[in-house]
Amino acid sequence: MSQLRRGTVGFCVLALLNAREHYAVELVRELAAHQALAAGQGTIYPLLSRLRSDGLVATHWKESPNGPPRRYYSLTDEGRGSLELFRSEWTQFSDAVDTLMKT
Amino acid sequence: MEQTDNAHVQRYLQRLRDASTDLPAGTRNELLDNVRTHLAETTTGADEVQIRNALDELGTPEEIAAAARTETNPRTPGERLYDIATVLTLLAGGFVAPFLGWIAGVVLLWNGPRWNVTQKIIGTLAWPATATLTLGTVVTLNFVNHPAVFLMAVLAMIILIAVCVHLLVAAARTRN
Repeated sequence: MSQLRRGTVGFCVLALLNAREHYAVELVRELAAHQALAAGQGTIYPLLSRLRSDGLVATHWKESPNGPPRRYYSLTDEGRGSLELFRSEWTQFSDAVDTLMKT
Repeated sequence: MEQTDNAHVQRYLQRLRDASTDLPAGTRNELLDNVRTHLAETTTGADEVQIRNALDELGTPEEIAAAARTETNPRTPGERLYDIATVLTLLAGGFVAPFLGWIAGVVLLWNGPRWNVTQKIIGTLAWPATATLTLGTVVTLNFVNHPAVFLMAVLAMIILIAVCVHLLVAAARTRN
Protein backbone atom coordinates (compact mmCIF):
# COMPACT_ATOMS: atom_id res chain seq x y z
CA MET A 1 0.00 0.00 0.00
CA SER A 2 2.78 2.42 0.87
CA GLN A 3 4.30 1.73 -2.58
CA LEU A 4 1.04 2.78 -4.24
CA ARG A 5 0.87 5.93 -2.12
CA ARG A 6 4.47 6.81 -2.84
CA GLY A 7 3.84 6.53 -6.56
CA THR A 8 0.74 8.69 -6.52
CA VAL A 9 1.46 11.37 -3.91
CA GLY A 10 3.66 13.22 -6.43
CA PHE A 11 0.63 13.66 -8.67
CA CYS A 12 -1.45 14.82 -5.68
CA VAL A 13 1.19 17.54 -5.23
CA LEU A 14 0.90 18.47 -8.93
CA ALA A 15 -2.91 18.61 -8.58
CA LEU A 16 -2.67 20.97 -5.58
CA LEU A 17 -0.20 23.17 -7.46
CA ASN A 18 -2.49 23.21 -10.49
CA ALA A 19 -4.98 25.20 -8.40
CA ARG A 20 -2.39 27.72 -7.15
CA GLU A 21 1.21 27.95 -6.00
CA HIS A 22 1.97 26.67 -2.49
CA TYR A 23 4.87 26.81 -0.07
CA ALA A 24 6.06 23.49 1.31
CA VAL A 25 4.51 23.61 4.79
CA GLU A 26 1.17 24.48 3.19
CA LEU A 27 1.44 21.50 0.82
CA VAL A 28 2.30 19.20 3.72
CA ARG A 29 -0.73 20.39 5.71
CA GLU A 30 -3.15 19.86 2.84
CA LEU A 31 -1.78 16.41 2.04
CA ALA A 32 -1.81 15.41 5.72
CA ALA A 33 -5.39 16.64 6.06
CA HIS A 34 -6.40 14.20 3.30
CA GLN A 35 -4.18 11.47 4.76
CA ALA A 36 -2.46 11.29 1.41
CA LEU A 37 1.08 11.05 2.75
CA ALA A 38 2.70 7.61 2.80
CA ALA A 39 5.07 8.38 5.65
CA GLY A 40 6.28 11.28 7.81
CA GLN A 41 5.81 14.80 6.47
CA GLY A 42 9.54 15.24 5.91
CA THR A 43 9.48 12.73 3.05
CA ILE A 44 7.72 15.40 0.97
CA TYR A 45 11.04 17.26 0.55
CA PRO A 46 12.95 14.61 -1.43
CA LEU A 47 9.79 14.27 -3.54
CA LEU A 48 9.61 18.03 -4.20
CA SER A 49 13.32 18.07 -5.12
CA ARG A 50 12.74 15.27 -7.61
CA LEU A 51 9.69 16.99 -9.15
CA ARG A 52 11.83 20.09 -9.56
CA SER A 53 14.80 18.29 -11.12
CA ASP A 54 12.35 16.54 -13.47
CA GLY A 55 11.13 20.01 -14.51
CA LEU A 56 7.54 19.41 -13.36
CA VAL A 57 7.54 22.19 -10.77
CA ALA A 58 9.41 25.48 -10.44
CA THR A 59 10.32 27.33 -7.26
CA HIS A 60 10.88 30.89 -6.12
CA TRP A 61 11.33 32.58 -2.76
CA LYS A 62 8.82 35.03 -1.34
CA GLU A 63 8.76 37.14 1.79
CA SER A 64 6.47 35.82 4.50
CA PRO A 65 4.26 38.26 6.45
CA ASN A 66 5.52 36.70 9.70
CA GLY A 67 8.84 34.86 9.86
CA PRO A 68 11.54 33.74 7.42
CA PRO A 69 11.09 33.81 3.57
CA ARG A 70 9.26 30.85 2.03
CA ARG A 71 10.09 28.77 -1.04
CA TYR A 72 7.00 28.64 -3.24
CA TYR A 73 6.33 25.78 -5.67
CA SER A 74 4.36 26.22 -8.89
CA LEU A 75 3.43 23.94 -11.77
CA THR A 76 5.39 24.15 -15.05
CA ASP A 77 3.83 23.44 -18.47
CA GLU A 78 5.56 20.06 -18.40
CA GLY A 79 4.06 19.40 -14.96
CA ARG A 80 0.62 20.31 -16.24
CA GLY A 81 1.02 17.84 -19.12
CA SER A 82 2.19 15.11 -16.78
CA LEU A 83 -0.77 15.76 -14.46
CA GLU A 84 -3.30 15.53 -17.32
CA LEU A 85 -1.78 12.25 -18.51
CA PHE A 86 -1.93 10.83 -14.98
CA ARG A 87 -5.50 12.05 -14.51
CA SER A 88 -6.81 10.05 -17.47
CA GLU A 89 -4.76 6.93 -16.65
CA TRP A 90 -5.78 7.09 -13.00
CA THR A 91 -9.48 7.33 -13.83
CA GLN A 92 -9.29 4.19 -15.98
CA PHE A 93 -7.18 2.35 -13.42
CA SER A 94 -9.35 3.22 -10.40
CA ASP A 95 -12.52 2.30 -12.34
CA ALA A 96 -10.99 -1.10 -13.11
CA VAL A 97 -9.94 -1.65 -9.48
CA ASP A 98 -13.39 -0.57 -8.22
CA THR A 99 -15.05 -3.06 -10.55
CA LEU A 100 -12.76 -5.90 -9.46
CA MET A 101 -13.18 -5.05 -5.77
CA LYS A 102 -16.95 -5.41 -6.12
CA THR A 103 -16.77 -8.94 -7.58
CA MET B 1 16.85 30.71 10.08
CA GLU B 2 16.15 32.16 13.53
CA GLN B 3 14.27 30.24 16.21
CA THR B 4 15.81 26.88 15.27
CA ASP B 5 18.16 27.05 18.25
CA ASN B 6 15.90 24.77 20.30
CA ALA B 7 17.86 21.74 21.56
CA HIS B 8 15.40 19.18 20.14
CA VAL B 9 15.43 20.87 16.75
CA GLN B 10 19.23 21.02 16.75
CA ARG B 11 19.50 17.34 17.68
CA TYR B 12 17.00 16.45 14.93
CA LEU B 13 18.98 18.37 12.29
CA GLN B 14 22.23 16.75 13.47
CA ARG B 15 20.65 13.30 13.09
CA LEU B 16 19.53 14.24 9.57
CA ARG B 17 23.07 15.38 8.70
CA ASP B 18 24.44 12.07 10.02
CA ALA B 19 21.84 9.96 8.19
CA SER B 20 22.38 11.68 4.83
CA THR B 21 26.18 11.64 4.44
CA ASP B 22 26.01 9.21 1.49
CA LEU B 23 23.73 11.46 -0.60
CA PRO B 24 25.18 13.60 -3.44
CA ALA B 25 26.27 16.95 -1.96
CA GLY B 26 23.71 19.02 -3.88
CA THR B 27 20.79 16.77 -2.94
CA ARG B 28 21.89 16.69 0.69
CA ASN B 29 22.28 20.46 1.01
CA GLU B 30 18.89 21.06 -0.55
CA LEU B 31 17.28 18.52 1.80
CA LEU B 32 18.91 19.99 4.91
CA ASP B 33 17.98 23.49 3.80
CA ASN B 34 14.34 22.48 3.20
CA VAL B 35 13.96 20.71 6.54
CA ARG B 36 15.64 23.62 8.37
CA THR B 37 13.23 26.07 6.72
CA HIS B 38 10.31 23.78 7.54
CA LEU B 39 11.29 23.67 11.21
CA ALA B 40 11.85 27.43 11.34
CA GLU B 41 8.31 27.82 10.00
CA THR B 42 6.62 25.24 12.25
CA THR B 43 8.49 25.83 15.52
CA THR B 44 8.72 29.64 15.61
CA GLY B 45 6.99 30.79 18.77
CA ALA B 46 5.97 27.21 19.60
CA ASP B 47 6.15 25.77 23.10
CA GLU B 48 7.98 22.57 24.05
CA VAL B 49 5.01 20.27 23.34
CA GLN B 50 4.30 21.87 19.96
CA ILE B 51 7.97 21.56 18.97
CA ARG B 52 8.00 17.85 19.91
CA ASN B 53 4.78 17.32 17.92
CA ALA B 54 6.22 19.16 14.91
CA LEU B 55 9.28 16.88 14.98
CA ASP B 56 7.14 13.73 15.35
CA GLU B 57 4.98 14.71 12.39
CA LEU B 58 8.05 15.27 10.27
CA GLY B 59 9.03 11.59 10.71
CA THR B 60 12.45 10.30 11.71
CA PRO B 61 15.55 11.83 10.04
CA GLU B 62 16.53 8.32 8.93
CA GLU B 63 13.17 7.90 7.18
CA ILE B 64 13.61 11.22 5.33
CA ALA B 65 17.16 10.32 4.29
CA ALA B 66 15.89 6.94 3.03
CA ALA B 67 13.19 8.71 0.98
CA ALA B 68 15.85 10.99 -0.51
CA ARG B 69 17.92 7.94 -1.42
CA THR B 70 14.90 6.43 -3.24
CA GLU B 71 14.23 9.64 -5.17
CA THR B 72 17.85 10.14 -6.25
CA ASN B 73 18.36 8.84 -9.77
CA PRO B 74 20.68 5.82 -9.72
CA ARG B 75 21.83 6.41 -13.32
CA THR B 76 25.40 7.18 -12.32
CA PRO B 77 27.14 3.86 -13.26
CA GLY B 78 26.41 4.21 -17.00
CA GLU B 79 27.27 7.89 -16.97
CA ARG B 80 30.55 7.28 -15.17
CA LEU B 81 31.43 4.55 -17.67
CA TYR B 82 30.86 6.96 -20.57
CA ASP B 83 33.01 9.66 -18.98
CA ILE B 84 35.91 7.30 -18.25
CA ALA B 85 35.72 5.67 -21.71
CA THR B 86 35.78 9.12 -23.34
CA VAL B 87 38.84 10.28 -21.45
CA LEU B 88 40.71 6.99 -22.03
CA THR B 89 39.94 7.09 -25.77
CA LEU B 90 41.08 10.69 -25.93
CA LEU B 91 44.32 9.89 -24.11
CA ALA B 92 45.29 6.53 -25.63
CA GLY B 93 43.01 6.05 -28.66
CA GLY B 94 45.72 7.44 -30.91
CA PHE B 95 48.07 4.59 -29.91
CA VAL B 96 45.48 1.92 -30.76
CA ALA B 97 44.42 3.43 -34.10
CA PRO B 98 46.71 6.31 -35.11
CA PHE B 99 44.77 9.57 -35.58
CA LEU B 100 41.37 7.77 -35.91
CA GLY B 101 41.46 6.79 -32.21
CA TRP B 102 42.02 10.40 -31.25
CA ILE B 103 39.15 11.51 -33.55
CA ALA B 104 36.88 8.99 -31.80
CA GLY B 105 37.86 10.47 -28.43
CA VAL B 106 37.08 14.00 -29.65
CA VAL B 107 33.65 12.88 -30.94
CA LEU B 108 32.87 11.22 -27.59
CA LEU B 109 34.06 14.34 -25.77
CA TRP B 110 31.84 16.74 -27.73
CA ASN B 111 28.85 14.40 -27.32
CA GLY B 112 29.45 14.20 -23.55
CA PRO B 113 26.76 16.11 -21.63
CA ARG B 114 28.91 16.69 -18.54
CA TRP B 115 31.60 18.97 -19.97
CA ASN B 116 31.26 22.64 -20.81
CA VAL B 117 32.60 24.20 -24.01
CA THR B 118 35.85 25.36 -22.38
CA GLN B 119 36.58 21.85 -21.12
CA LYS B 120 35.78 20.38 -24.54
CA ILE B 121 38.17 22.80 -26.24
CA ILE B 122 40.93 22.02 -23.71
CA GLY B 123 40.33 18.28 -24.22
CA THR B 124 40.43 18.64 -28.01
CA LEU B 125 43.61 20.74 -28.04
CA ALA B 126 45.50 18.62 -25.48
CA TRP B 127 46.99 16.12 -27.96
CA PRO B 128 47.65 18.48 -30.93
CA ALA B 129 49.23 21.08 -28.62
CA THR B 130 51.53 18.68 -26.78
CA ALA B 131 52.47 16.83 -30.00
CA THR B 132 53.28 20.13 -31.72
CA LEU B 133 55.42 21.23 -28.77
CA THR B 134 57.38 17.97 -28.75
CA LEU B 135 57.85 17.81 -32.53
CA GLY B 136 58.66 21.52 -32.56
CA THR B 137 61.51 20.88 -30.12
CA VAL B 138 62.84 18.04 -32.28
CA VAL B 139 62.74 20.18 -35.42
CA THR B 140 64.27 23.23 -33.72
CA LEU B 141 67.16 21.24 -32.28
CA ASN B 142 67.35 19.00 -35.37
CA PHE B 143 68.35 16.17 -33.03
CA VAL B 144 66.02 13.51 -31.50
CA ASN B 145 68.28 12.29 -28.71
CA HIS B 146 68.76 15.72 -27.18
CA PRO B 147 67.91 15.90 -23.42
CA ALA B 148 65.58 18.85 -24.13
CA VAL B 149 63.46 16.60 -26.39
CA PHE B 150 63.18 14.04 -23.60
CA LEU B 151 62.19 16.77 -21.13
CA MET B 152 59.63 18.13 -23.59
CA ALA B 153 58.12 14.65 -24.05
CA VAL B 154 57.84 14.20 -20.26
CA LEU B 155 56.24 17.64 -19.96
CA ALA B 156 53.80 16.73 -22.75
CA MET B 157 52.79 13.52 -20.91
CA ILE B 158 52.25 15.49 -17.68
CA ILE B 159 50.06 18.04 -19.51
CA LEU B 160 48.03 15.25 -21.15
CA ILE B 161 47.46 13.42 -17.87
CA ALA B 162 46.58 16.69 -16.09
CA VAL B 163 43.96 17.46 -18.76
CA CYS B 164 42.50 13.93 -18.43
CA VAL B 165 42.31 14.20 -14.63
CA HIS B 166 40.68 17.63 -14.99
CA LEU B 167 38.05 16.21 -17.38
CA LEU B 168 37.32 13.23 -15.09
CA VAL B 169 36.96 15.47 -12.02
CA ALA B 170 34.72 17.92 -13.90
CA ALA B 171 32.46 15.08 -15.12
CA ALA B 172 32.28 13.52 -11.64
CA ARG B 173 31.26 16.87 -10.17
CA THR B 174 28.45 17.26 -12.74
CA ARG B 175 27.23 13.68 -12.14
CA ASN B 176 26.57 14.66 -8.52
